[in-house]
Amino acid sequence: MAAPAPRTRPTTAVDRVRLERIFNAHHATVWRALRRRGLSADAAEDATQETFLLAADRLDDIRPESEKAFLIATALRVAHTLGRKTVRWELDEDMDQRLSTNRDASDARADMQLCDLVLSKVDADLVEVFVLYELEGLTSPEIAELLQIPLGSVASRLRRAREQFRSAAARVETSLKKEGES
Amino acid sequence: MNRPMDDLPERLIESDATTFERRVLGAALRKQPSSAASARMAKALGVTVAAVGTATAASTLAADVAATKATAAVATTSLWPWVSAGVIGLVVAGAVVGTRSGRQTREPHSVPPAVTAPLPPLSPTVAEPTGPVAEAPRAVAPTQRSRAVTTTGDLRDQVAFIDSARTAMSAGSSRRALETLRRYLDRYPVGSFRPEAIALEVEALMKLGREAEARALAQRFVAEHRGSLLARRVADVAGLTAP
Repeated sequence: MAAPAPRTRPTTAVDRVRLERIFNAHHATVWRALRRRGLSADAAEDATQETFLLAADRLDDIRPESEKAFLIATALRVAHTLGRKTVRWELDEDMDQRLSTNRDASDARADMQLCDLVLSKVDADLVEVFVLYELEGLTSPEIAELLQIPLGSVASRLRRAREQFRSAAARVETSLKKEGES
Repeated sequence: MNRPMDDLPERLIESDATTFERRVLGAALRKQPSSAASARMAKALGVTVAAVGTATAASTLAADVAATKATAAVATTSLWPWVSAGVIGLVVAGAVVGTRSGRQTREPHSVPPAVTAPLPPLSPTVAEPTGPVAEAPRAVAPTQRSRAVTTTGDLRDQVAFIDSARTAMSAGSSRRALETLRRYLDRYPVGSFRPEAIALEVEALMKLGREAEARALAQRFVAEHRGSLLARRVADVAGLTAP
């Protein structure tokens, strides 16, 4: 993705304080959401940056309790403009996993591949609700607003997504155990 | 994060997920941009990326308890320099513009991340805020919103409150810091720096020897901000088990 033209943003010092706090709290979440939309690491980085630039323009309109929902919604709109309309789970080849000291890098990589495998078995129209609720921590009203679906649909999609996730996880786990025994 | 106020069930990772399911969900939460990428994005936005070095630092849903505990174990026991560094640094800094970094400026992937800038000197222009003193017990979370949006003027005033409290804390006047923080929290029940204010309040209470009060406040704070870097630091300061 080509680097966008530089642009200046005359934010005040207090705006930057809040922007910095929001950035540090949520930029990884935004980046993850974009990667799950199929953006490459570089594109996700650019889109994350774009998301926060858009947020900087609207800081006064963002309610403190809705910062994450606003950012994810903005990020998904940015992804949409880039032509990514569907969730696509990708393995990360260049991801800095920032491993904790008690985990081995190869184990963590394997876990992430398992994660991708399990989630790829959840229907595409369900996995988004699952991810937004289970991983990104949005509430059902936030998800309903974000995806423009009724609250009841959020609940039903989540229920079905969970069933599929748990079923897939169980199958993968069983398969792993069999491999370990053979 | 607590159970959301809606009609959905508790999140899997916080309820009855199996060990394997937790492993899978935890792996999803560990996906993060590289440290170098975070630093580039922060630089382009004109902000300072926090010193984050763990898998759970940016996640609001801590999945790896061991990792979280390990992080908390090395956290500092003082909150105010961490809380105030960004606030004061940005207030006294000159205009910073958000210019985007192109890929041609990308650093090698192995380059260490940029970390929090050194604490700049205090701003002499920060005025002592004024406002009604209120000592009534408060809930950590506001019960209702007092306004729909926050104005820039409000934010300046909020920054002044936080800076004033930090200044008082650094001068050894925890009581004055506490009074300032409570004025802030009462004036801005949904303020932009409410988490930072409560974190400072916990430290001030600890320094005043009001440990039971501090721990009660810290427990509510940690419950509401579970998994956040600030929550872990608050827990550490108050001597709680890491969130």
